[in-house]
Amino acid sequence: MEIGFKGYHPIANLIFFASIVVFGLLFKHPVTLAVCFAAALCYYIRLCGRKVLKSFLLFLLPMLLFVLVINGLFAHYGTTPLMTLPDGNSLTFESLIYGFVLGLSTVTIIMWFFCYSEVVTADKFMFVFGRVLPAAALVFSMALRFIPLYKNRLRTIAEAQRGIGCDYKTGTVKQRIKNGGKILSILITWSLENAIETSDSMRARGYGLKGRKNYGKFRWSTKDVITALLMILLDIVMLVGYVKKSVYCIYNPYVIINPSADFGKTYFVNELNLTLNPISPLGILTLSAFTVLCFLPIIIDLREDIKWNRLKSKI
Amino acid sequence: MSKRKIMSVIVLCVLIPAVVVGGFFLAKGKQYYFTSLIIIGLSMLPFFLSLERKKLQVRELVIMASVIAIAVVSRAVFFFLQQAKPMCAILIITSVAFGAEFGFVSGALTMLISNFIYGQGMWTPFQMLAMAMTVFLSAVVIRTFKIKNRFIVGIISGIFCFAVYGIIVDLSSVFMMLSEFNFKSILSIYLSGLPFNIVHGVTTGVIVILVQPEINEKLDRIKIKYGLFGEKI
Amino acid sequence: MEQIKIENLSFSYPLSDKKAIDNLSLSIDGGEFILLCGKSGCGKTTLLRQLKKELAPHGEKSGKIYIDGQKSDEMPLRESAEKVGFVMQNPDLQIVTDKVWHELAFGLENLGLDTAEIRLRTAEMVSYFGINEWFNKKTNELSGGQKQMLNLASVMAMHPDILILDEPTSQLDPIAAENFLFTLSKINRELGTTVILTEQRLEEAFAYADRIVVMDNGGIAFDGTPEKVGEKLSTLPTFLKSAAPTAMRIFNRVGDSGVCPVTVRDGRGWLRGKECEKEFIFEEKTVSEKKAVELKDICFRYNKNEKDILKNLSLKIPEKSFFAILGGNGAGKTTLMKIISSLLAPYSGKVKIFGQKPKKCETKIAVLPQDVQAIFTEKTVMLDLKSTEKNEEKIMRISKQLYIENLLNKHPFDLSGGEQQRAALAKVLLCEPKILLFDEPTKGMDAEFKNVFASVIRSLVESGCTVIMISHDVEFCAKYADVCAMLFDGEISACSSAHSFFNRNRFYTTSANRMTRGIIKNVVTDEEICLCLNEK
Repeated sequence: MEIGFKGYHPIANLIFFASIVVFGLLFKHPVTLAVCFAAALCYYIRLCGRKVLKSFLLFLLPMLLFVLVINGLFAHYGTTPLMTLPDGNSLTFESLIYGFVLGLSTVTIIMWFFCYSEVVTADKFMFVFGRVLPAAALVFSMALRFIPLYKNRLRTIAEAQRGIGCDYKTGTVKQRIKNGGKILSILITWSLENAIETSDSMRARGYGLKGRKNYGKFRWSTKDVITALLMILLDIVMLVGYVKKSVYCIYNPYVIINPSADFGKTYFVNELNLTLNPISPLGILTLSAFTVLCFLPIIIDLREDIKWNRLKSKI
Repeated sequence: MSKRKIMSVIVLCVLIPAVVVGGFFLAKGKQYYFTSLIIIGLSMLPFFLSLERKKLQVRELVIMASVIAIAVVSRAVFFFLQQAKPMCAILIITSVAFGAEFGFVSGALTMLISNFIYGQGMWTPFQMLAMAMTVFLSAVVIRTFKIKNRFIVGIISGIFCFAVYGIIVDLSSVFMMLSEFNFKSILSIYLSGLPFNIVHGVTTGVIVILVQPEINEKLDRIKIKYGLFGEKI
Repeated sequence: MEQIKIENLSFSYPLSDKKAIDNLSLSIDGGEFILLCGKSGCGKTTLLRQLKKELAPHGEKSGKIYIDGQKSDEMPLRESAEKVGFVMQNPDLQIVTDKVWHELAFGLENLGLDTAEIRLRTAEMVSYFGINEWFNKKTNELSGGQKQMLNLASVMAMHPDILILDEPTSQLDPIAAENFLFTLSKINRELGTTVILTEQRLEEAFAYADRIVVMDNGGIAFDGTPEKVGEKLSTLPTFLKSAAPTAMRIFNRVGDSGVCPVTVRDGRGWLRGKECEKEFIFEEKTVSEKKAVELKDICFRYNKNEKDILKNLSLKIPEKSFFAILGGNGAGKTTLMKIISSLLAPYSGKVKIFGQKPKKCETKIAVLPQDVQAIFTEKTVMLDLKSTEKNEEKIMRISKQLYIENLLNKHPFDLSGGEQQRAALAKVLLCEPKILLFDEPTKGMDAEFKNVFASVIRSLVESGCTVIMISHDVEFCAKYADVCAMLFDGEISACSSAHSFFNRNRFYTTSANRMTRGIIKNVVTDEEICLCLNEK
């Protein structure tokens, strides 16, 4: 049995990731960015452990820098020049900030996708899409079954060919591609011929009868329902917040954080053309909803950890 | 050309770009990535729906799954060509034999499944559409003009792989990473992806040239022996 | 009550003038356990497939098949799917999905049962077949025996009345095969499901069956109880003389009359009542002093963090001999073979081929893999053989020896399993190896071809080739091998001449040895029993 959020119903999992990606992309507010990034990082570490450091240094950080540089160098909007670039254009504060925002949100979304890969396994994915597209889902499931089978088969073929004096690991590149092609063509003939037998087995078990049902071993439990409903509620709050522009931000032509308001105090940083408006109650509500959503899987996981530890100490 | 074939070519070459352009005007410079996701979903939908409705023979479904699995594992065969992913080559060869629509669906599913193994990302839907279109267009061209010469087949596959796959996949980076679309910034993203796309296109072409005749012979045999994929595109 | 009734059934495949089934009539009662035997190509599979509408091959058919009084070709698909279960030979190819639980549910999904019903039925199957431990596994993580058990369970989940099995154990090792047959008989006994089974290895299956049907040339040559088969053996098709259980074969060779023994137990009882020599005098054959392969203190593991597959293994294989390596599943047999053929390199220890290091050595080592499909590359057998050897005379000579002359123009994948194996063997022989390795070559081979195969090996050995074979096939090794070695837990636990090897074992030995233990000393094969009996 899977633990924590991973063990929840696939639809609950999918609602979470869909909401995160949608609102993670819609909101460009500094607070949402920071919260989303922090939550993604925490959950990613929770799921993958040490692997995270390597992928962060080798993949995510360079990606962030790449986005920052590209936007800084080639985007020419903005009203606050910081310095002049060699091509005569100027590097603006706005393009730099927006570049950073985009880079951060790109990296964050990628991290959420990594988490998604861990949580929504092929099983769960099929459970959901099997209802909408049963034929495609069946092909998908069979392909997953064939992949390890064919991997072994490839090894068998390569060894068998070596066993009669035909090695694909040596020779010129052209020769090796040719030999590789030979191995592939054996795999193709072998596998497609066998596919016929597999399809016989399917027909023998009644595939093709009318009214095929899709069975999944996942069941809704109370906690799944509550979590799903909670997420939908949060989504509605955020949607209202988005439509009413309560966490509205722009970075072009100058930076304005929060919509202009007739209450509270507005801060200007004149040198940077930066406007910081006070946040409305709806804005606060939206941001809190977003925060709760982001940290939901971690909260669920931690709660279970604590429960376990308590049970353990009792024993 | 059958009616179905013309219809699907029209859908792919005219309607989708129209929706793309229209979508961006409607979005008015906001949420490009988002809009594009919806468009990708919409453009793939007809093909998947037709897979559901068509009631393919059981054998054909199993063969599709086999082809997908072969494409995914084929990477191990050409391990010595570091950058090469023979997936595209295999898919093109098989869909030249089995049909362009077969190619579209198996292309999309191959990318989806290989991402389940190598990691999902925001690029998954783009890769799905890109591979599907690459394979579909190559197969349509090669089958329509009944090209038999392996060099021409290889060159066509290479070009489609380089152009169609490259452009669509890098589009995901453009939408995600750029705050403003100008020539230079888009160019810089495409340039950064260029080496990969060139290698991908060239290896696809080379692999097709070297192995297509041999594999095609075997696919034809299967097709005839078991009476599969009769009159599809 | 009559459940299946076949009336004057004839069937021929398209483009073939020979009838695969010729005017065959048979009736089967509910709850029977029927063993259908016949040599390969006699029409067994064709007959079985006729009983299952979805799998019936195309061709010209006449006659009628009734299942529960209903014509089989008028039976609705749903009813046929539910009523008749079918398990095929290769365990890998019948599995459709990637997870065990999904595989069990697959047939039930097709029937459109609701979730609760599917859940209940899979749960039942899991408990009945004892698959709890691997219920949540992926299907590719299972062993061959488990895979076939899963296939059986997922067919049984659909609650069939009739279970048809086409050589279901031919790809399994003896223990898994025994286990599978036992489960079958349990299903038959406890649920009353009719079982129709075909088998190559009859030794075990005979003990479970109520009724034996022998097919020959598309017709029925015999129909009756196992004991009756023994009594009539001399009048039945010749293949049965080498395929029937040991006790039955000996009973028949001696030419005794009375009730024929079927199992080893019956055989022992029968033997006790006979007068015979108390000991068989055996002359050890001498093998060459020169070694073809020498392994010294070999250690091997696939990954740094895993445990050793081979542990300080030492082995000497004499030149010009037929050497058999036996051992259970996971003992490391295949790994050992890969090390001998230098597909893998040990992390410590030495391998010497004719006294030289494998890399320097130019001796040809050829391997016939278990999955022979892996070696065909061309579109006809002839072209395929030509890709290794240009000389046509040589090809023709070897084709003749292996009875594949009439197959030369066919596509390798159009051949049957046994034919494929022969064609592959021809290809390997064309490499003219000094050392030839076989990986479970007798798996799925019918008894008659085993004799041919043995004579091919014999002539190879005589012409100076060293033959090494990995096998589960105790009977075959005892009869034909010069030297046998037992591999257990990564080590060679015993290695001696085949005769003394099996004579010393108590369980892991031939039926002839088990039958004579305590009655006649020193007996390993059928012939030896006969010799002891005939002298009186």
